[in-house]
Amino acid sequence: MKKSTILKKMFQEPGIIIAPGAYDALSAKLIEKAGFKVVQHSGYGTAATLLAKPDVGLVDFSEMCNQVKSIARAVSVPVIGDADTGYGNALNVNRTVKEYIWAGAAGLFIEDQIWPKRCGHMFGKEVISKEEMMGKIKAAVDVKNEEDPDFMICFRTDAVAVNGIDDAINRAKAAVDLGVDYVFIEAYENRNQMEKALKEIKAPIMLNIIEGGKTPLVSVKEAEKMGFKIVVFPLTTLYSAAKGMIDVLEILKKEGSAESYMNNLITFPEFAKIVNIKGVREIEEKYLQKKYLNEKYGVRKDIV
Amino acid sequence: MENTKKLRNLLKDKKILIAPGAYDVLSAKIIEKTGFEAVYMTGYGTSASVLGQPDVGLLTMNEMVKRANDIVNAVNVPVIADADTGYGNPLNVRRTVIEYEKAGVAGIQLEDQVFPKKCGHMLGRKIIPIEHMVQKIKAAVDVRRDNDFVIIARTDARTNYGLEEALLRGKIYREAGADLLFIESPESIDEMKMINETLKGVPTLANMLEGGRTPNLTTEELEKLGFAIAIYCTGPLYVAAKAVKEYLRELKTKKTTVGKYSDMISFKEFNELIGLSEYGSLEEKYKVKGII
Repeated sequence: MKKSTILKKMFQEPGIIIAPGAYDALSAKLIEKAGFKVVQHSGYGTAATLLAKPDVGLVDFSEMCNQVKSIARAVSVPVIGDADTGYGNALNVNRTVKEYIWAGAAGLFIEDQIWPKRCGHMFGKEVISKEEMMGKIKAAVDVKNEEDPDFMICFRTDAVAVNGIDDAINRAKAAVDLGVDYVFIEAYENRNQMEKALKEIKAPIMLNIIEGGKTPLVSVKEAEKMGFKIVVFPLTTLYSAAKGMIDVLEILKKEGSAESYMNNLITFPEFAKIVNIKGVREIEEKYLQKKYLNEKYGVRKDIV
Repeated sequence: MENTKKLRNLLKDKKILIAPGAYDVLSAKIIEKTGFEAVYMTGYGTSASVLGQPDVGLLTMNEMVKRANDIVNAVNVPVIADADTGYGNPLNVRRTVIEYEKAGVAGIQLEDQVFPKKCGHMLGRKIIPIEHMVQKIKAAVDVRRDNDFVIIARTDARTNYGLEEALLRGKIYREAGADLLFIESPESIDEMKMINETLKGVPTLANMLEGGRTPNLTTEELEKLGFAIAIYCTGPLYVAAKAVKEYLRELKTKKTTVGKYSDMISFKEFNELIGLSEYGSLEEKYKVKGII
């Protein structure tokens, strides 16, 4: 089944969807291995991993799309792409949605910030007019209908911080009328705002949880009870990886060895499992000459 | 000598610099082989070549930089590259300049259109406030590593806001640190004269887009008017497109291409053009034998 169809079905079936955020192919693979059924690609994480820069619109569309592609190729579960503002006007959105579909994403979200955008939990956000944004949403929905009707389009609004929750809900409703599959109101400031959105918007709603962000930390269980359909944790993997590296590097610097940190490290053979080194050996067995393999490995059947 | 320095010298020279437009590596190579001293990488042509789409801001910074880098690797003359609006605000401009500079181009052109931009001879272009463009130019000047890296400021003000606004912008962009001014699409010889009179002492660029909004003059005429550089951004693209079209029409209608032979470069000539013979000598030098 197409990944977009799988994702669409998950939205139709009961139960909340949990999508941790991936900033590269490896983090996506780990999310899949941990048993999560959906991966959320993170633009914030992409800026961090590609440029070591903040999420302020420096990563361009080609780079973002390449990252979505490598993430989508690395896992067999659906991947939702972060498409920022669509990288321009409705014409750019047309290209962006097509290329994300071709890259193998199962869905994407697109937001109403001005370009260059910034992370939804930063200060100084600005949004484009509702009218202009609805033109972009129309363009996105049209492309999806032409290329892959199961592809999931999510409208994200950053209007809460700029114009308040009512404007955000208003924009979300207009986007739902234009055919988006679900909506994402970014950076709720409190539970009241969440409840209001859930009450007024007649479409599946996504909740974005950023540890240390503007939105109160709501557990998956609680989010489901409130009525959210999907909850994403875009930065949990990135922040834990960064912290892990900081800690081990500190020890390496101080102690001249990472030995005292070994319990927290994945080991050489464990890592080989994650990237499926066995699969490489199997392909070799299947396609390379026996004589050559004997010279290379003798009787060994594994690489690690 | 660094290509940035070379470009500066060519611009300083009293003789006008002619930079035909390359839309891919092959066209750049042909420009160099024909004896032109600089290559201008066109965004319009790159959009056509990479995406098969019009020049309306669909191409990303990375796609442009990749193409610029490929061209730089293939030619020895300085390459000037179109950098559109710088792909965002001054923060994006900083990254854009860093990436283009690393790609090895000798200069870039930044324009004051609203993003996503449009080709300068199309209608419906909007421009950003002067102060915003000034900040972009300042960001570009601040971040360049090589002070000889040429920053061309282009204004698209003429078409919708008049020549006066365009000239005012030219002056202010110069004060902000632009090395070369590109007043896009003047509509008469008088206007072209006025550009060089008003901006006296600053190198100016003439864009000769065949069939565009600006009169097409000879390079001597442009030199006399005082332009430091003339670009023929779409010419090579247009002749190539026409030639391919005609060849294909011949194949379709006559079911043979024999009638087109005289219009084609020969197998031998083409191999020479892209330097096959050099590979023969390299094979000898490194004693390359058959397959590895």
